[in-house]
Amino acid sequence: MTPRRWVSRVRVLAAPALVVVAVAACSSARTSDAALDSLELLPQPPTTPAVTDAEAPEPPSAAEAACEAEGPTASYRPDPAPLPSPDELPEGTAMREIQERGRLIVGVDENTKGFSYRSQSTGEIEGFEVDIAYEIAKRIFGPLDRDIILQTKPVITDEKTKVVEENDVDLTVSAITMNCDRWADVAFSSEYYTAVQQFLVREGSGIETAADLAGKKVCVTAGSSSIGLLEDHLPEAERHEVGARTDCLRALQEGDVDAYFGHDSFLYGMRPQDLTVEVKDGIIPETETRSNYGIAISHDRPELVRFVNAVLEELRVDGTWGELHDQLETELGIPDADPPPANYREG
Amino acid sequence: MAVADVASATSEPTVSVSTLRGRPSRSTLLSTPGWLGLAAVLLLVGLVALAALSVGVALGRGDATEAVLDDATPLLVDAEELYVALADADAAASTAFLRAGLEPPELRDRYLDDLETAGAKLPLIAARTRGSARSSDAVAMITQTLPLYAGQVESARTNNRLDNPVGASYLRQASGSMRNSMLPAATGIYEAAARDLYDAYDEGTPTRHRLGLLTVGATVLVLLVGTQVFVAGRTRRVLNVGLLGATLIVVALGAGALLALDKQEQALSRSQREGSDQLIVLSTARILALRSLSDDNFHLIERGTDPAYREDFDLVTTQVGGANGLLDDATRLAERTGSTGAITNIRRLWDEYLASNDRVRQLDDAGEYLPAVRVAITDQATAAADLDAALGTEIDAARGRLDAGAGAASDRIRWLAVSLLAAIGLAAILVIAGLWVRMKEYR
Repeated sequence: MTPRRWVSRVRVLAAPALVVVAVAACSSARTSDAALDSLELLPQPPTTPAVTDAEAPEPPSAAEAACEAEGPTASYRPDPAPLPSPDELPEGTAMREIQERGRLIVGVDENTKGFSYRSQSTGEIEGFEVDIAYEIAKRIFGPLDRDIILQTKPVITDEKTKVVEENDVDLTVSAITMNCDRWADVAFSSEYYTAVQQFLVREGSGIETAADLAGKKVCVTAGSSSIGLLEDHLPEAERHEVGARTDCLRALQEGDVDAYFGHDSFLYGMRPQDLTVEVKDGIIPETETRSNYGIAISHDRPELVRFVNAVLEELRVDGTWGELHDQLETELGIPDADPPPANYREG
Repeated sequence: MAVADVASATSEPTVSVSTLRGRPSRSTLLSTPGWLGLAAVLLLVGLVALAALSVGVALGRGDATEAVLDDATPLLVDAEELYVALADADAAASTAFLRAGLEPPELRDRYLDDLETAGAKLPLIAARTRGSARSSDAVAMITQTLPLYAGQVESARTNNRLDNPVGASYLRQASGSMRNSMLPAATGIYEAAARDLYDAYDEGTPTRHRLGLLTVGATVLVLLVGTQVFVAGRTRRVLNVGLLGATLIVVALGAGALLALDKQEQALSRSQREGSDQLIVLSTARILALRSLSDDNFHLIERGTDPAYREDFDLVTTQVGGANGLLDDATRLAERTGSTGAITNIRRLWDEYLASNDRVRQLDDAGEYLPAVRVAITDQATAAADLDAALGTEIDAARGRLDAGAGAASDRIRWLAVSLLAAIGLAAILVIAGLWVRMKEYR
């Protein structure tokens, strides 16, 4: 046997061997990562509401111009006065529309003790402002139970007027200071409460004057009138904006801020929640910080503004306002006060 | 071909003949003993290479299989359970807060159990994520944030009991850190673990291993056969027992190794196809289901002031239960193991969960807030818990299949490493012995 024949035999044997090699190299079982596609479904969950920037200024509207002429507290004259009974409400009005729908929907805060907050014992939102809204509802539907005719919808400060503009609610009763910027967006009732803005600080903080607040962190709610006041009177204070009023109390408790600048109506409600904080008045003169609260109503429903004004007029005269305010005095130690006088524009 | 040229140049390979003919003209390197020596060296180098490669393949695949079994899968499951514990803790805390008045004791227990689970999982996950900076950072962040979160939840609870509205602010802060920081971090750990697992599967079944083994093995075989042809031609001894034995061993070894690799790949592939694929799909579905529940709770807590929650609920529930959603995927995957019954049951519980959510929505949209909350914390919470439990059971079953497949693959590969080394050693001894006999004749 010659070596050449051996070699050729090797070649003959090698050919099928190569096929075996090629087949063996291909695995019968491969893994795949198709299941990993499901991971693509794990994006970020939505975040809690962010504080949005203030909107760009718009050209002044007729309502804003009237506000400049007559003052921000001037609302439309009450009508119909005296109020009709609920089954005699005029056809085609917002009141009739609300009556047919079955409920008055009101934007409120849910964290302001005394004024509007969710009570843990009932689970319902209660307080002075909810009581006012209930009085309005009673005059649309008659004296029925509150949860039957009144639907409260909590809104954050920044959206108080927006929900009215977008007709998510019929009215917002939530410590809205009437001013001409806001009159551009919504109409207001006559004044139902007068507040001043003050500072809430930790006891023993040594903050007594405007000078003490230079370079300090001051908490304000985004979209509130406090921001402008702070810019004008305490430009050297560092602003810390949050979404809800109670966030400022928490920030103060946690040491994130040195002071909270807000309406005394909120600050009175915070004192009972924390005995180590105190209200400082007069750091910015009260004449500058006076805030006149009005109920926000859509410009499209002037008849509802007049109707609400007629209700408020009744509450002032028949002593209901005084009774509701008495509860605030008992609960929060707010000083006795008379109802703010109504102020109406011509026409 | 070199072997053929040499063979034809020296037609008489025996010592006696070659000496009689007296042809000392060639250099010693190209003389028969020189060729034999070269063949021995080449064969030994080939066998050593084959041994090294085999051990490398076996160790590499063994490591990858161990990674599947002991690292990636436990990490994946721990990460999923961490997410579930954190998300459920937040759901329990916020539901307890929603429930005006006294919180139900079972919600409090659930919250505390969840915190305990999360606390137990974090060090385990930390130990397994040392190699990954991103996952380690995520674990560190959760470890640092969780005590703060728990403190805020207690502040919320205490203030809530005292009827202090500031409690809501603490709850918002707590849930904000949970939803915006801790849960995304836990999701990140889970995602990284899932990718690690599938990387480990790839590491355990690369094609290059087969190609490498085949190339080196075939080269050694060609050398062995060539040497035998050469030796047979030179010495007229057609059979060299040593070389033939070595050849048979290498052939048997190659076939055995390829078979073993195939079995190992099949086991690993089974682990993935029947185990981890379903594990991932169901775990992701579980995470998303919990997220939808949390979305709904927050929609109620924030009283609809932010539409993002409902939008996310709709998105997430479509991804889980919609056409070609995760539950459809799970059904297809279950067909591989004949466990479609369990997925059908999960689908039924999912539909019940959605139905209860529909009732919550209808009440909420009609302004019936407190009745909506009641349904949310009773019917919907129960439906969500049942769904979660069913998903958990099926995830455990999938993990059992994953472990079984990977365990079988691990056994195969251990056997392969030992037997390859022993056989190649034996082949080397036979080669030396076989050639030594021939080379001795040239002394």
